[in-house]
Amino acid sequence: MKTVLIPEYPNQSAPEQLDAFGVSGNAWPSKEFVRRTVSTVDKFELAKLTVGLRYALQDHRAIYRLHTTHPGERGELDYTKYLVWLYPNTAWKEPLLYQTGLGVDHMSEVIKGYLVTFRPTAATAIRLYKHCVLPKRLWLPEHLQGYANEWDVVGLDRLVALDNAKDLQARSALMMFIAYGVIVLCVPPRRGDLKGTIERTNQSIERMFIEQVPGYVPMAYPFTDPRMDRIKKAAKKQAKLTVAEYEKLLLLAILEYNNAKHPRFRKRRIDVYRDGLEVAPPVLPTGLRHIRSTFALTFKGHKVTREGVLVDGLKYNSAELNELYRTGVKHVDVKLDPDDVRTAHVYSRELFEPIEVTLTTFKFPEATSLEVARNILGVGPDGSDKEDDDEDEGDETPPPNERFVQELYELQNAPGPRRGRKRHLEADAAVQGARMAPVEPPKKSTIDDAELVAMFRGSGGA
Amino acid sequence: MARIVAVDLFVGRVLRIDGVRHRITGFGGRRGTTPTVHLMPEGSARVIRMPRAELYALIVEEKAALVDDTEDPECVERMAEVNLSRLSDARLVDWYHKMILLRHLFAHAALSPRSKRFQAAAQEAREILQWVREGSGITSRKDWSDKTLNDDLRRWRRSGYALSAIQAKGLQYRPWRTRKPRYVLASEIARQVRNEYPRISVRNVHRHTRFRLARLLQQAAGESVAIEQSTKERPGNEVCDENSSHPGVPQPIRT
Repeated sequence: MKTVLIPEYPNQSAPEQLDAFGVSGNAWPSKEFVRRTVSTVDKFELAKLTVGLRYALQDHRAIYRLHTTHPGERGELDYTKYLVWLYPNTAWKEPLLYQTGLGVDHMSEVIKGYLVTFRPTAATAIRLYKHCVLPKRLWLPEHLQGYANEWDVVGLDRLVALDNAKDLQARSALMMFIAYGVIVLCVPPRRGDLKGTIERTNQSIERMFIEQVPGYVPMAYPFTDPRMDRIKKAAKKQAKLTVAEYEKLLLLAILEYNNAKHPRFRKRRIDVYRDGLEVAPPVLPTGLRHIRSTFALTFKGHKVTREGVLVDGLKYNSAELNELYRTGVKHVDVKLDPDDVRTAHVYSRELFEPIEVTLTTFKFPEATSLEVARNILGVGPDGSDKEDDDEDEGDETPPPNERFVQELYELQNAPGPRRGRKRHLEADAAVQGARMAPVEPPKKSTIDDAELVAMFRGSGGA
Repeated sequence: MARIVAVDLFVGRVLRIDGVRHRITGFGGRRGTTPTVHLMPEGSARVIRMPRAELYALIVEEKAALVDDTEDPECVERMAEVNLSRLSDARLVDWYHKMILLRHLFAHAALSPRSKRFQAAAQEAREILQWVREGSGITSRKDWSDKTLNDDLRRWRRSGYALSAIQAKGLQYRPWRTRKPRYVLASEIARQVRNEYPRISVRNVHRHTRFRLARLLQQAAGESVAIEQSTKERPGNEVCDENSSHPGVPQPIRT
């Protein structure tokens, strides 16, 4: 049983009282006895009693190594301390500051997935863990598909350690973990050592590879320190790479890191991982529909109307949802895959199965991410319509497919945020647009109006 | 269907890829090269070398599935997707805690609930759960016995690790589905073998059951394909010992 030392000073004015207990003068206990007794007090327990658990946790470190026995037992997610100035696409004029998110396996130390983002949100946290869990062919961009077979690190973790970032601990992200029964370890503030593997991996990747990347911003001081401005400005002048080019460099660095020797097992990290699979095979979620409704943003209690349900500025409807509305259901939960917004899943207590609903305001010909869809449709995350000069064209609005190609082409070749649009939303959309297959510029009709009128008259006369 | 699968690959394991049964014959890829799985389609001597990552992707897309006929008979679920929004908050917490326990006991599903290893693993799982409860601050006194957890694991496995199996039976206490005839047949044969040979081991009962089930299914398939083909003798199919007291039943293994 642990004892807590409570200081009680003897009453010096009453030596007879001390004599009664035998502690006056040089009698027992000696100073050495007290020193040794005090030195064995659990300092963490003492700090917990005096300053509280939160601050006690920050000031005391346990001296031991956490041992895991098989891959998939514990995963760690985090964003890197360093930042990189990158261009969203080749035409963009001013670089933007990007963060890199990584996920590692604790036992083998292999990197399971990565994510490059301009602005970490719940959607990026979900994407990051999705990249860690799913086979790489299912999410790597087109130009990196050749490396998918080499990077065979997949599977759900038993426990995932996260820091206090609001995006990682968002409700949607936690719902994803709950659905798969993944234990979430929320590390307290200033306790990076509780997820030391990812911190060390971030440092290794930074020192070995990212330092040489033009536009790299070392985190010499805290981010809000005014001295960081000078460092950021100097790095901004060096920026050369686009996000796609950086992703390729990062992927090569990750593969090299995974193939490097494990510091304790004396064999390659990827071999440690592969050998460990015999003990504990990887646990995979299956079914693309299920995956789309699990690695998804959760919108609870959204109102259903005759026109369907409005989620994040996007309007969805289907015959089943309309039927549900007519039975009197007013509020439903919606799951939206941030990588493909063409359809969403509606959940209601009245339903046995989720309903698949379709985006009604626009027909995307291919899988389109949430950021690109918002950009093309001109809606903000709160659902409000943005200012857009192009919408004054009236009847001359092109049909959906042409408009999609036109908007995507503009996005992939935009030199900067367009007029009347928010900079961070444009940058997010530009990054996601760059991950999609490049499109040709939309062809303009070679027939002028006079010819069209003549053709129309000719056909009518015949 | 919503499910999670432990991709346990070993030599002899059968996979169904695009409707064709393949058997794993080996693993390739030395140190430093892409790891591959050697697959042989049934009825063919050709070996396909498929990258392991590609096989994972096919399993996730449900174009490939791990097959074990006796253990995992095909079944139809009433509920295809797991739907947590139907649960109350207390049930949602129960779901999370039960998944934590079952995920920990995933590797011990084949053990008896009375075995020491299973009980030790269950105790360890409960300690982890207690730690999660203390850490998360969500108080819940819900607990499940070893037997219940073992039943859940077996049901989960029988339904192909469909998540809805746990939700429907383990949390919402809905009446379970009607079993497929193939499953009923397998259990009846197992009982029949047990009655015929009360003293043989479970391993041999399993062996007999698989054999009889395969023979019955083969007969059923043969009758439906073509009657005239059945007149031709197939020496390769005569596996059983005709002179034994029970024709059509293999002799128990004597060790």
